[in-house]
Amino acid sequence: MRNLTYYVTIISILSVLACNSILPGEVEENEVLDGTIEGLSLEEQIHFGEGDEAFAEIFTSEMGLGPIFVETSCISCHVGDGRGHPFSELVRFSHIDAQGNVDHLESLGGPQLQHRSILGYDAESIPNEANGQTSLLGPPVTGLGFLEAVADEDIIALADPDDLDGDGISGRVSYVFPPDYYEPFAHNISNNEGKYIGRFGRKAKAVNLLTQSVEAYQQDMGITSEFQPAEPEGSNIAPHEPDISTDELQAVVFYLQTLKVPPRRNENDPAVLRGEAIFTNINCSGCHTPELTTTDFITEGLSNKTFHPYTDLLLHDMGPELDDNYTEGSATTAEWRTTPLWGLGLATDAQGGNLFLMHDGRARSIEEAIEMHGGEASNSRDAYSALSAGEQVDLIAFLNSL
Amino acid sequence: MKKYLIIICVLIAAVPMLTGQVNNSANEDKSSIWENLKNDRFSDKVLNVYNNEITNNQFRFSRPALFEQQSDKGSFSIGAYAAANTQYFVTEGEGEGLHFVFQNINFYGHSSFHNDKIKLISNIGFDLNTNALRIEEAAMSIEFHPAFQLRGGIILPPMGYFNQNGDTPVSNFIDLPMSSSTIIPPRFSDVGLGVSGYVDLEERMAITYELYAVNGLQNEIVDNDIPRTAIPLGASTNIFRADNNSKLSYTGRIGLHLKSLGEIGLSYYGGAYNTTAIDEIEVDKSRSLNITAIDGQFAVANVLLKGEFVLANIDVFEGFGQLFGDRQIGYHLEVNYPILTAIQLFGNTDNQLDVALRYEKADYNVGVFEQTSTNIFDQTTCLRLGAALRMGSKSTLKANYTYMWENDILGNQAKTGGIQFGYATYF
Repeated sequence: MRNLTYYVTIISILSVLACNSILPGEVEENEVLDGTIEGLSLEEQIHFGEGDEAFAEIFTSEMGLGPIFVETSCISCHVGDGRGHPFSELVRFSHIDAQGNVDHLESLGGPQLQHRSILGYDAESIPNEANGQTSLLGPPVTGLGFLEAVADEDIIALADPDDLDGDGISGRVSYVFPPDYYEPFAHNISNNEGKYIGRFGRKAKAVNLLTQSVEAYQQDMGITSEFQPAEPEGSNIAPHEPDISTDELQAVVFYLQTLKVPPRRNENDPAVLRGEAIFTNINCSGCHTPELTTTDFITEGLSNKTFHPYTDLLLHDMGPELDDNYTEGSATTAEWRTTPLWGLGLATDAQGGNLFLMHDGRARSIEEAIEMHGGEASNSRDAYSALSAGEQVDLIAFLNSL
Repeated sequence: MKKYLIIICVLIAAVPMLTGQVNNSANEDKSSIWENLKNDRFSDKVLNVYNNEITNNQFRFSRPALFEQQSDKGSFSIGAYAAANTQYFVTEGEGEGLHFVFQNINFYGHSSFHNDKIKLISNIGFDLNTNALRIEEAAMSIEFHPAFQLRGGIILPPMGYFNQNGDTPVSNFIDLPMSSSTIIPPRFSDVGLGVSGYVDLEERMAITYELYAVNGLQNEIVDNDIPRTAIPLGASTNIFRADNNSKLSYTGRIGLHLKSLGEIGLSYYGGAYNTTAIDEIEVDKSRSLNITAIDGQFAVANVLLKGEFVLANIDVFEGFGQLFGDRQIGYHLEVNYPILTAIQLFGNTDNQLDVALRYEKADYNVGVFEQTSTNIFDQTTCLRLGAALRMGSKSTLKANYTYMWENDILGNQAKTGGIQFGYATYF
């Protein structure tokens, strides 16, 4: 009995100690993307939570998935709210004729390939008529509310379509026709053709987070909504009640709008500071604009804030190196919207410890990604190549701190 | 695979009967083995944990009973077991809080008559998935010969070791191994008919076998919201285990029982699982799954070793792509050792304190991504430490520590750790 008491006491003490010392500790806040912006009210935080839950919701055929689809949830393409993986890539295709006319082959299931299907349906394959296709990885979804809150006039001010300053960079605004249900914010202004600025998506086709989300639900998961009641092209399913409610959709949009900006790490490290200076010196910042400011927006936490996304939200010609002979919106096949660099240092946390960069994940390291830049970024790419090894290390250290 | 299993089982059953090498009485055999085991200096605990009956197949007929009556013509007993625990788990620093979990309660009844040649067994358990009482077992067994028994009704398919021997008081761990609960369905039962038996090869060695035809698993293996190929979700929750595709599945196990040492078993489950037509409209071709398991339990120098390796191949609808794995692998290795025996407690000395270690892994999607040629993860590795105060052969107080590495399909890892305290007892 004495021995039993002895052993039981030891086991109990070890167990209690174990609670604090050998249970997995909390990940540092600046190592994760999830979290709200500051200043949300209790009601807004609850709304954020509803959106968080909906964002992670996995759809089944009973819930409206498909019949043809790419993924089963939002979070599948934006794991941990981070960068996507080639496994969940979106493949889009089109036919471009000799005159440059683009046919998205909607009658053949285009422009997006839904390569998965529910039971009883055939998944799509790329039709022979397509002569161009691209693969797109899901971008990180943090900080998007700040990008949405940038005034149109600020974006327009960054554009230099004719390269008047002669730096070889000629970013231009992506003007697109929004869908019928689009309601502009106060800071959105149309051009004389009735188009609005597209700022979301790799080709800057989506004018705001609602239209981007509606499109993603329908094209990526086959989930219909009040705003997009039709199933994806090629589904052959009659119109029916929306698969998700407008409330749920709006909760997801609010979640995306109020996710915090990706946190910085080691920003005061000397190597990082040197790298930051190099980033400006070789004019990476010519497209990856370090600082933007929001205007009045839906909540105080997003209004009149200065933030650091490292994007100008403009379209840039990236040259033949990144020309997939596919386009959408107003972009040419070689034009891409400047990808925000914030969160770059946390990309591997969402990509299984690997790194898949550029629009389709073709770059397996930051160095490779830089080398793959062409077109308007050629000068900066060449300048990077001319840096000393130490300077290159400093630049990478800076990019990893974002 | 199933054809070979059938042939082997029939041969095992037929040869001894033809050559007259089987014992005349099952009871005599059990008794002699019991003595053999006791003489091999194993503690009572090892015998209880190992199993105090002769075969995997027979274990359920010898559980502790709340009420038992025996006569020259047969016997009748009823009993039950239950388990509950309190646990505190943390994933990457975020805990779900300290809370209580009622694991299960299971009522069982056995009866036999006609000189123990006809046996009835029934189990009713509380199903945590459906929050309903569930008939886990309701079968009749007719022993024409120890090497040939006919059994039918709601049976527990002999997949691996734990499906038929997963009584919570038996184990030093609170949770079942992942291979026996997330690849092989836990407490998996089905309607079927089959044969079983055992054959003594020599005094200290026997072969056991079971072979059944059953209704089979169902669509939810892939039609689920995890989303992952989840074989346990294919187990029918219908009280009568209604069939969904008019095609039988087959399951069986062959065990080599080395008396006073242990048993190694090879088991198989296979058959079509999906619905092929709805309202006479064909929605898919017939798709099958095959599960093969090797299990072993050995007692050596008071150390009880348990292990299991499970391989599942699933024909998955092409439309799902690689979201749903077509191959799963799981295994575990467990070491149990009594550090204190013959503990004086509540007037009894039939108590002992065990320590145990289990290492286990389950890979739910074996393969590489078509897009990147990198590994598909969706796997969990787990290390468990346990201490258990075993009070006689009926009750166990358990303390478990778990550390788990969970990788999502892309390989992103989350670490989970937890402490559990619980009890499991027959009553």
